[in-house]
Amino acid sequence: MKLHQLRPAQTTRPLVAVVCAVPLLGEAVGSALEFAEVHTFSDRGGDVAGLLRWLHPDAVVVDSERAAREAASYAREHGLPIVHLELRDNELRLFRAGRWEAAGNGEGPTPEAIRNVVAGALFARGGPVR
Amino acid sequence: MRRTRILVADSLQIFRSGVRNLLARESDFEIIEAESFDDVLRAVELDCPDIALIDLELPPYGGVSAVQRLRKRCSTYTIVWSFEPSRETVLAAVRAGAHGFLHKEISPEGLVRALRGVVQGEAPLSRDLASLMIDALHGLDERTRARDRAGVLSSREREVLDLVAQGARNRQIAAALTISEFTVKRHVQNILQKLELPSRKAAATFYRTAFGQEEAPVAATQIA
Repeated sequence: MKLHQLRPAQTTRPLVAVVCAVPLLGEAVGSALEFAEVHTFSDRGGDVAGLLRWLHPDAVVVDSERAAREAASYAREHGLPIVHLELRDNELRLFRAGRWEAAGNGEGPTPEAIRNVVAGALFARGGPVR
Repeated sequence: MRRTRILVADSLQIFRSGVRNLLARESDFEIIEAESFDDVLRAVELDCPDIALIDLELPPYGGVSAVQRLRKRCSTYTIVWSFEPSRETVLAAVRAGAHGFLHKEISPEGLVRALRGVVQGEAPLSRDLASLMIDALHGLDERTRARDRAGVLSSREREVLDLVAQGARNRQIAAALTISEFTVKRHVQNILQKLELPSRKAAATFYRTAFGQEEAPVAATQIA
């Protein structure tokens, strides 16, 4: 697939970028966010902020501290929600309005919790429709 | 066509879900899920799976124990997977009977390939994990040799050496074993002579190589 094919020209669904160091998470997150246009990227230490600048997603899901940090630098400027799956601690964090907070009602990063947190963040941002 | 039954035992639902979604696209796999070893037992009550993919941290006893316990009931191929495999955990899993060990960061294609390979008799182990295991086996060889050498010691000398390795002085050893300091000194000299070691410090290092922390070879006498 060529790069320009990855970015949808027009879509009525929100675009969610999933940047995962653990590729199997992309499988789970992709199907949990059935309401969104999900694009999964393998996190191999690349330029996450650059990826987001190019993709202009409505929300981001990451699974590493580094990707969360880099995504936050971009998200702070663009009011973008980021969901961080902290697998080792079995926690879910949400970045919005410039700060991180615990999310998911302590359920941990289950597919349902991820879907609820992403959907909630998208609505709070102004609706899921692009 | 008979489908390969795969039991995914992982406390993290997101992983079970990821594997399920991945393998749902393949026509030759059937998935069963378990979030603890109790769930594993329930799942194998009627029929054993062909392959069990077991998380190293599977509650309540961990993946290595789960492999051992599952082996008693089923002739299932077992694969342990983990975020941060160490040489000790890889070796422990394989010694417990696991047929392979995988990183949780494995690619979806890699996981499918590994699962199909297991059915054909392959042992899934990535290159880096194979190196870790070889390192661990070398360590094991060294330990075995050291234990063989320790066989020349009497049980009393091993007790003394145990205390030397704990950093005890002769007076403390004498008190712990209720013998005189002179006798302790004689035991230490004999130990060094029998093992052909130059010093007390070398004897302590030798003891740790031979017995590490995994077991106490003699009645564990602790220094007060």
